Amino acid sequence: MKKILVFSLALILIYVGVFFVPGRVERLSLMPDKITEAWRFLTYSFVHLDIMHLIENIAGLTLIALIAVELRIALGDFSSVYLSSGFLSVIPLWFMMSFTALGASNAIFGGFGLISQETRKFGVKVWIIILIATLLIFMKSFFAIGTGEFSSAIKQSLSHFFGFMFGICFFFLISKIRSISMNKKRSVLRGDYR
Amino acid sequence: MDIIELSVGATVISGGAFLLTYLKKIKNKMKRSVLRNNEE
Repeated sequence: MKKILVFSLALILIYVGVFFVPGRVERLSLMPDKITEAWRFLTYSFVHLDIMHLIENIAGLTLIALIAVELRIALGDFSSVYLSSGFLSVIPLWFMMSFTALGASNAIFGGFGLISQETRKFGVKVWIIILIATLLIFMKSFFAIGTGEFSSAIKQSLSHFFGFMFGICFFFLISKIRSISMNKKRSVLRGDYR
Repeated sequence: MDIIELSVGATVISGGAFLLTYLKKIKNKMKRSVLRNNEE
């Protein structure tokens, strides 16, 4: 379980390292007018705009790692959900709404999606966690209604919501695949195919 | 062009911290109940 903490620490070191790369936002973030630079799809989630942005995401990552350890989530599940949410979940919204995206929070919200599914191990109702997380995600947009910040706040909230839902769906998918492959293994061991 | 900072935010961090505390509490409760059952 502690492997998750090591994985998170490695990610934090990468985030801090990338933070000191000169011109990181222009060179590595996901920009609509630089669509031909394909590496940006892999780098944008490691870039942070300012120190507060970096600190908030480090705090978020540390928190989901601690919760994952508490819930005894496997490193494979945690890392695959985290990285795939970070790389993929913002893409549909980015194509639809055209904005410059950077930061790791989509990956963190993917992690929250995974956590929401695993809290059932402790008898916590999954729908309550999903409801609370959704309310927290859209709270910022709600308070920005009628202000000039609403447009960027709603894009941020939607992007986080996509990350959260992606985490839930991706974990559901890998759990299903795992259960099918386990059933096949059991059948082979039982000799059903003889 | 909008730059969207994908940052977690204080409210979500507080919510996550609350969830972590709650899970620890449930875990301790479970441990105590198992210990009590073993003693009996």
